Amino acid sequence: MMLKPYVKPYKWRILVNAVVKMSGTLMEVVLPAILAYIVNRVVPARDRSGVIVWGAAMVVFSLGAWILNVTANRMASRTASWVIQSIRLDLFARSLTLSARQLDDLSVSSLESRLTSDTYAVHRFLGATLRMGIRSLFLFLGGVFFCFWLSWRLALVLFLLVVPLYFSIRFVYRRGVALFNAVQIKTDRMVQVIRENISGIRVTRALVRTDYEKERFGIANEEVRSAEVQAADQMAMMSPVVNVILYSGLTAVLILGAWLVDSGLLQTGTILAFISYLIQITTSLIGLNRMFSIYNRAVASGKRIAEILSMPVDDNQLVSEDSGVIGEADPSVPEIEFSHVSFSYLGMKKNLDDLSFALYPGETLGIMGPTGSGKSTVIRLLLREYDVLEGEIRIRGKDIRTIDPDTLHHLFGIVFQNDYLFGGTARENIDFGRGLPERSILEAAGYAQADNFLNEKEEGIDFVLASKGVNLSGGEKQRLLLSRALAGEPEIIILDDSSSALDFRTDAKLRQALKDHYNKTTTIIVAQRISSIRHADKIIFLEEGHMRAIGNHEALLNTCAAYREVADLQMGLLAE
Amino acid sequence: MAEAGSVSDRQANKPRNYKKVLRGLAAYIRPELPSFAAAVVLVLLSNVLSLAGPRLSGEAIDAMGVVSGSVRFGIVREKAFLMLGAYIGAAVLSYIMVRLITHASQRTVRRMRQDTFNKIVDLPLVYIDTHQAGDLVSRISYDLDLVSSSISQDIVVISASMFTVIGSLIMMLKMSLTLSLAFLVILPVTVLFTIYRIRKTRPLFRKRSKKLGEMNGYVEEILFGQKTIRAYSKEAYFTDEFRGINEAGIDAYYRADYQAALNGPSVTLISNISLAFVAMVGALLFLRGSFSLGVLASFILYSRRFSGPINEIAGIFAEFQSGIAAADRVFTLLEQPSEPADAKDAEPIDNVRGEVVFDHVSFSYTPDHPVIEDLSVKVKPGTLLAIVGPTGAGKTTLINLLMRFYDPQEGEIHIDGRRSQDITRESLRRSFAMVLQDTWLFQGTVRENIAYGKPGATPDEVRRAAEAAHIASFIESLPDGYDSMVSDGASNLSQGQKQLMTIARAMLLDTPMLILDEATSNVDSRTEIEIQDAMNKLVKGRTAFVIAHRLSTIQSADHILFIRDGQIVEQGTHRELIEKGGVYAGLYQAQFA
Repeated sequence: MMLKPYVKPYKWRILVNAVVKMSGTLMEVVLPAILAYIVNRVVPARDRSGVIVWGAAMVVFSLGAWILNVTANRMASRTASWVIQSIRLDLFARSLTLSARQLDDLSVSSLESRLTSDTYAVHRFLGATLRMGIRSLFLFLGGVFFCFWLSWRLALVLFLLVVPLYFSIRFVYRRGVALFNAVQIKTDRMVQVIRENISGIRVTRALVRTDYEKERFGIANEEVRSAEVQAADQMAMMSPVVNVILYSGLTAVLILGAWLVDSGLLQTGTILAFISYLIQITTSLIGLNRMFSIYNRAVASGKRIAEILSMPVDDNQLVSEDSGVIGEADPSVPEIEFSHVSFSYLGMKKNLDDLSFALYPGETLGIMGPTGSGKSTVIRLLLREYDVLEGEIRIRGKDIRTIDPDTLHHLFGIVFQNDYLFGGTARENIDFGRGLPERSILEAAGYAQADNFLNEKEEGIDFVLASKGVNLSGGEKQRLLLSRALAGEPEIIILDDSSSALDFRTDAKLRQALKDHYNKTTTIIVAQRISSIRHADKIIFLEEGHMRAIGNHEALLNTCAAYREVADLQMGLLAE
Repeated sequence: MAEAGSVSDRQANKPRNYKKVLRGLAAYIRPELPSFAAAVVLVLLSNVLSLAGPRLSGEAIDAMGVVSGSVRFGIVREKAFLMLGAYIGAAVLSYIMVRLITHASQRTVRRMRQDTFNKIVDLPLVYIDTHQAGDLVSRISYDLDLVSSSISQDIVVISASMFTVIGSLIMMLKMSLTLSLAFLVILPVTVLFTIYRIRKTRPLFRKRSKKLGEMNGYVEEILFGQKTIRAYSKEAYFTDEFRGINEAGIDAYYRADYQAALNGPSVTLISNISLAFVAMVGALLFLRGSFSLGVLASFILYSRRFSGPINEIAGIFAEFQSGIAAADRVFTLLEQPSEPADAKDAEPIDNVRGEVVFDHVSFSYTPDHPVIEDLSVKVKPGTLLAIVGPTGAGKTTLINLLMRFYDPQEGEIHIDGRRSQDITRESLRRSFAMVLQDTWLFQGTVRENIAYGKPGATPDEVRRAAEAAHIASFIESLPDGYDSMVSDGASNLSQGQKQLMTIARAMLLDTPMLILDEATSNVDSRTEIEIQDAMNKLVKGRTAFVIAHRLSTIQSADHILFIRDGQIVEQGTHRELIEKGGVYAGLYQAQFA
């Protein structure tokens, strides 16, 4: 597999492990042979002490097998977990550094399943190979070996046995796996109906569709049942098929054995041992087949993991040669400058077309426009989540493609649209791993109007958020996100639709705080509400990626009909 | 992945009342009783047949003798084929049995799933609002799965194992008491050992699934914020944090594995040592002439059959326990009272004019936090009432009361002069159309989603509604038009498009009353202008309750209710309130600050 480098450091350990497991297995395999020896040789010689000695030998071998197998299993678990630990850590680290485009292509949920269920599958496989795989293999080989050693003539029965066994086990398994996949799909569908009903319970009740939903669930439910029954019926075949083949083999052994015994080519005790080995071979085949299905699963998972690990650094994460430090803000140089910028997400339609503007230090830029007009795209490009298709974006006169990403990101305090909060305290969410001093965290919370709702909580700033902040209202979430952006003395503040859930009064207070405390900070605000941006130095009105107008509020009211329409709608007063 | 995390927690709480749970299960299984009875008979028969196997093969071996040339072929062949016949018979019978059981248990579980789902959708809203969706989902998906495997597998395995153990024991005792004793020395050791191991490993596995659940949760959370983390260049910080969580997960995994690594080999050890004992004692007995080689062979085969199920029973018993615990959780949910039925004398309402009166209404979700306090307001038919106020003021609660998702603790709501409790819920709700901020769409076609409230709607009606909501041209640009699938979570639609679809859904209903709870919050202003006309038409002539942030919507209302902390602070028209210069006026000015 492609994950070899992770296994390589342990190759000697794995080799030792394999040898230990093999020895343990072989010690078990010898037991029926000793039994046969007792019956065939020791007993006819009427050697009572011999019986005790060989019986004791069986106990010793059993104990030996036990010690070796336990040791090997534990070694295997240790090795497998070490390997997975480093794979998963690297995978996680790589996932966090993927470019926005790579992340979009992969989707978060796919990445998530690679980090969880795929690493589990590989883990299970590594452990199982060293435990069950080697064991099954040597139970099989040892069984076959002893069968031939005991009586090669009788061992010919194996040929009649092994091939049909192997194929029927495979056949049943394969079809079973396909049917179980079908069960999974049907179950997912059913779960979705449940989820939809819980989230939409107000709607279904309001529209009096509860009975219809019960019926809809009934269909999904019945589909699950029918898929389950099919899969279970398929797997129920396994045991009878295996048993019939095995016992046919046993019958053949008895009849052929009788003939050989009669001709003096075989001793009766051998048949006893032979029967044990036949049973052993059958179990080992079932085990090997289970290994195959674990292996298949693991190969698929391993590929998905390796795909991420080997993903090249995206073009937009490379920094051109002439990178250097960027200077301090200079009032005579635009802090942010877009020069004829065009961009397309999919390479078809241009999402931004020939956008140019300059923003000087301390200025505020407002961006407005309908959904899908490219407002957020401007932000994404500025952060270099994507590279421009044409044109150039400069910060303090330097093309952002020549600025080291860490340096670039350190300039910003940012709130994205639908930004995220993690499970942890409000303090941790604001600090965001930056190790900010207490004072600046509390100050930022104050500016962002988060302090009043936090003060109402018993724990204050140490109030614990549930994952994704689900225990907060939309407005509370936005206030925490704003605190995060304002803390840490950002040189540029970017707020992408980050006050939509605030009521007007809080929004106004926030704007006042920005004005009072961050008037030297260059700010970009993307908003739907005119009131959020009407005091900006410059406002850009975007429509389908084109800049329709730029200017301050009054200028836009005069020059941009679309802007005026929005303003009329939102602030009616002016129209009166 | 909160579900994975809570799985372990739930395993921890043991069923409170075995008897009650078993009675509940028995009630569900009762219709399948004939299947289960037949299955038990089949298990018994199949065991009798397969128990004959080792004896027959032993007799075949005896017919060979120990010296060459003394083989009685006729007997060998007869016994060998009898053995094969017995085994095949046993295999066929047990196959039929397994099928009977799985079919019966799947039918049982399907009934349980349906009842559980029906309960969920009939629960009072307070239950849904105060419980996590994931928890309710896992009752059906995870818990009932455990119940299903308990019914289908555990019962079969336990009964089959019992028969096998008892049968083998009888056969062994019949063959040789001494040899049986030599073998049975091991039995108490086996039982004690198994119990001990289960005690020892179970908490480790519980801890392991808890740790893995935590790790999954962390991964999900962090990946969701990947772009933010990169924007702050904090990749290394979070990778470092993950290092600890990963290690904890790996560690818990290894600890459980480390102990479990002992189990398999130990089971083998016990059965191998008993094989050695049987071989020794058997050989000695044989030398004393107490019995034949064939008997020894049969005995060994029986002893192997015996020790297998003993280990299995112990394992299965633990599973059965968790199955019972799962069933307990399901029954606890099923015992929850449904949304109370309509009052006996409740009657449907029709030809609604749309006069709504809140008369001294008080309501709280939890006893100590009043949400609405002594609120009274009268809404004349056909008027537009805007409800304004800060977050948490109780705006949405008013809607909940109006729709009777909740009933007030004090006071009454009247519709057209009738107490809303005296009206059937169904007819009451049918007289409202509702658009909420949460845009709810389900997996199905666009058409099904729009026509959801009016199942018999013609394609033309659907199209007109979509046109009015300004979403028709978008829908028609989709490859399958109105038959396009709205996919899982509707990720192929933007927030705004989703909201327009729910507006179209409301437009299709011709109801006398209307509720718009932040109905256009996800629609940008330009689109809002475009649908404004349609919204005006929608509102016209209907009693409308509108919760909105946009002042333009509020301004045009016939009556504005400013509420804070569950009480009406101010009310009147826009002009009246501005002139009054109170909180509303302050809020209004704040917009232009």
